[in-house]
Amino acid sequence: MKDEELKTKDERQEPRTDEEIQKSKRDYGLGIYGSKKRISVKLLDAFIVLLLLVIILLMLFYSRSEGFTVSFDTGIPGIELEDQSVRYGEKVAEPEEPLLPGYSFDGWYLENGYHWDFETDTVGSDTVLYARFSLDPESSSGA
Amino acid sequence: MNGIQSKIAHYKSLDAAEKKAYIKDSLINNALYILLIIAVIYTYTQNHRFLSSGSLINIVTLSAANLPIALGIAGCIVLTGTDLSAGRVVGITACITAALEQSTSYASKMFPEIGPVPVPIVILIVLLVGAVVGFVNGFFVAKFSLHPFIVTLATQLIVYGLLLIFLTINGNNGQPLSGLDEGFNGFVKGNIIPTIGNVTIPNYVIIAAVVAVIMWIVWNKTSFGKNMFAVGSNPDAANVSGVNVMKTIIGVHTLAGALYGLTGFIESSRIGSNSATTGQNYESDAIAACVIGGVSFVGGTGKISGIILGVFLLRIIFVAFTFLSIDQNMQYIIKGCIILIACSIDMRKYLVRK
Repeated sequence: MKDEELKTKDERQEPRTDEEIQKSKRDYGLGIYGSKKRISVKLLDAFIVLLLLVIILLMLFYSRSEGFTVSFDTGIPGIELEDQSVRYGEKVAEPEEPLLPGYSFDGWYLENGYHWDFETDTVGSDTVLYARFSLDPESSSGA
Repeated sequence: MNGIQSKIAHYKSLDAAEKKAYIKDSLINNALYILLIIAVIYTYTQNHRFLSSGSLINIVTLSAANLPIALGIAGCIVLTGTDLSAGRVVGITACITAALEQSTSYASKMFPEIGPVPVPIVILIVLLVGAVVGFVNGFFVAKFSLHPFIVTLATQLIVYGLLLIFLTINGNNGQPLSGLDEGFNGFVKGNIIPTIGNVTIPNYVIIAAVVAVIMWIVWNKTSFGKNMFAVGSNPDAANVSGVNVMKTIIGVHTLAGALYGLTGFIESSRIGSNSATTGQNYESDAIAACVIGGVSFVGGTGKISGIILGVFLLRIIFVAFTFLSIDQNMQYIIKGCIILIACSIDMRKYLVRK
């Protein structure tokens, strides 16, 4: 059915030179989703080049940024620590220990329960570190 | 080698204008490889460790972990379809694996009454869970000719809902599942191949290699594989020549589902802490890898070697972005652009060929 339609269209047209046929083949084709609308290869090329340039520019621009964000969640309302910007493979500067009355501070942990070691661990992505506390026996017995 | 020589001979036979057009075509058709070369060179100038042996092994292992899902989704693309549920199936099977393989000593174990389940049984369970989702996808696509985008979008949501419910079982309250059994971790992340120097190849690379070999046999040496390409090229012609189109479509989707299940099994141990976000957007990486590797959305074309190459090349680009400390939100935008380029090149090749 499609071939017949195309044939009729071609028959209606004036005979084309070989050069014109070649040019037409290069510049246009038929879509794959049943559409008869012609798609410009030149336009498609322009979009491919544009997207490629966008990616390269984003890569160059964002690789100059300060790096991944490391944030600290103390879990205590009102106590917020400043985020750090750390580049890939670098260490996080240990922040000040948060204080929670009646509890002792156990350290900083990842969401999956991994205890962050500021001496050895390095950053590989945006990271949130959570503070962990345990009940302080001295202060609880005193209270 | 002969291919290169014939290409050179063909190029020499062209006149000046044709040569210009040929170079332009080649540059645009290989835009993603050009991007790859630029990314590798730039990243290396910024951080020399990018091309260290440790980094390269990291790229290989990350590629291996993502290979089964890509091999599965490739079949759906060969049928001119896709599978948007892949990532969520990886998520649910990863969480099922984690729940069954938590160590008995882990305090907040989801199923405290059962110890770590033997690995072969877990593999069978995740393959089955993935295959069931794949079967549902394939059934609706084949039986009612529904568009795979819509069918798999629906199952994606259903699977995500099931995953969220699964994570609330036994008072888990959506918490990540961690504390996995050492024996299980050893099976997936351990190394049966002895460490040479400081190079360690984890077992899941071997699992991925075995899966790739099996899939190569399925695609190239079985009637099922040949039927898949026939249906992907022209379902009507395949039907006329005696291919059971419905059975083939359901089979391809079911096989794909089982491979997502296997990816989930690997990911559960590789990630270590599995939550509702596990597997999120994995399908987009897999689809992009397939298209880069020459599996065309036009249908009926694709090679296992191309998919392996696509997964590997895409992973190099992503690891390069990590080395450049590019913000993860920005990485999503760039990934989207890469997929657009890959699909546009695929369409361009089709148009020019026509």
